[in-house]
Amino acid sequence: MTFRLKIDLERCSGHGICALLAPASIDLDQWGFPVLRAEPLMAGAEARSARRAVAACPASALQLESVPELQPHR
Amino acid sequence: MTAVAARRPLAWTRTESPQEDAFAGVVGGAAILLAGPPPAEGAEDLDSHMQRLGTLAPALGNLDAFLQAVVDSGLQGRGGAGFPVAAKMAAIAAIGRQPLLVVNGSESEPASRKDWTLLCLRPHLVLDGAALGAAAVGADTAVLQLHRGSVGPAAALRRALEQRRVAGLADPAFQIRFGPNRYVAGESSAVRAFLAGSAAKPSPGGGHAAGRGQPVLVQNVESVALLGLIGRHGPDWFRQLGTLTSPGPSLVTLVGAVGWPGRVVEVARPVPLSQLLSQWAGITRAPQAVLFGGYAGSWADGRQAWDLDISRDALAGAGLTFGCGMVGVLPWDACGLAETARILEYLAGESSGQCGPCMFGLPGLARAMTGLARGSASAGDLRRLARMSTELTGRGGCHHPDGAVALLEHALTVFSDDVSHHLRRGRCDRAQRTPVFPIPTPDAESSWR
Repeated sequence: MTFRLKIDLERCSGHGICALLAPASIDLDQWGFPVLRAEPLMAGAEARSARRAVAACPASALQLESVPELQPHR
Repeated sequence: MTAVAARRPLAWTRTESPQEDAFAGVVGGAAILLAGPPPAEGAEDLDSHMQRLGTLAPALGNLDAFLQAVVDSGLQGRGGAGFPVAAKMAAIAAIGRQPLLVVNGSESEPASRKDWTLLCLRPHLVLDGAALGAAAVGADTAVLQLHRGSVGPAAALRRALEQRRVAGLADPAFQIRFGPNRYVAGESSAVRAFLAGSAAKPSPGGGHAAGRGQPVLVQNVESVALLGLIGRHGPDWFRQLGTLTSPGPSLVTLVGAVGWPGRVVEVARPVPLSQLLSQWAGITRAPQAVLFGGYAGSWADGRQAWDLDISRDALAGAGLTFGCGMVGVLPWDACGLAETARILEYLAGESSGQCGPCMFGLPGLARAMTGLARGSASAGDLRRLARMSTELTGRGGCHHPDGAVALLEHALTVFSDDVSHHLRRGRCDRAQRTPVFPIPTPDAESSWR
């Protein structure tokens, strides 16, 4: 299972808490607004910290979505 | 050759009537949208319009055939993005609830005059297309959306509506609405928000299918006028005009250092920029640079663009934007960096302030560009400018920041010699020239509703 973060920049007011809680997945731009990593997040530590960031966002601007997995060919 | 429609001062409030010193032209064939009586006569009345084009009744009587004709015509929206009109109509019809048709005349590009000219001179062409489009998607109401201050178009439309009422035409209920005079307020999701009673600000995904409430089909004035002509003459006729992948005639507005800023020219079939400018702007040698598509458009080197065809395809092929059809001429004695800085300051002030990167990033971008234009920037400032533009791309709920970044990137490429001159030796003499491109003064009443 992989996950992807989504940001609603119209809600985001640049608190920056998300980048503190999930530094592996979220950077801040020079104005303090989140820049999300493009690659999907792996289940485990990455997804856990992303979930904490989502829960902590004061503007409820951050979401975590699960990415439907493709069946690998063998 | 038909000629003549709108020369007018480039003021932000569109209150003047086009008749007095009106001027427009046509290249690449006979006029279609601007055919008919000379522009000096003002808005064409219903009798003249009907005599010239005949009744709309056959198209209204076979709406399935009309919808198929729109599909076959390959008509692309004339608001800027060039989205296929038939696809938008099908998406709205598929929702299955009665939609509202919006004829979008909120021409927000400060220097564009094409929709304004069309509404002032050929209101019945627009209203015919609206009647046909509304019937085809099952809308019983059509909103004619204008900017506040669009006095000329509003007056032409009111007179035209009265003529149609007296003639007893099978029209939808028409409503004229006035939205705020802001750059992003004419974007379709912003128009939809405005009509729903909210601030006229864009929303992400601004798509064509409304979520809750009534589905709203937003189409640009020129697109709507073309619908009426496709309904009458059919898709094969339409496809003989324009290009293979972007059929039909297109209106362009000449601005900047042209003989008559604000002159609207109909391009029946693509002609090179050189022909357009020599015929209708009195320019016979390549200018320094050309700004295509609007203020969030793209700069091109004048000599490289000189032989380029004026069509959506040819411009896209050269990495340029057709957008709203603005063709802006920068003369040799002006500074492209100074012009770009002024436009960026304007675009920064027109952020709807909904997304942080746009709200803070665009003013930062504009300040840095102004520093460069004034010759007070260092190589480090230039690197910061590059970093800002990277960080801004794709970061808004709408494409406003993307447009500003694209303008900046084109400027730094086309005016690269000026960049190094400004960095090493300070501002050039040309930067002190009177501005070429008009910048609207902010609306005194800056309300978004």
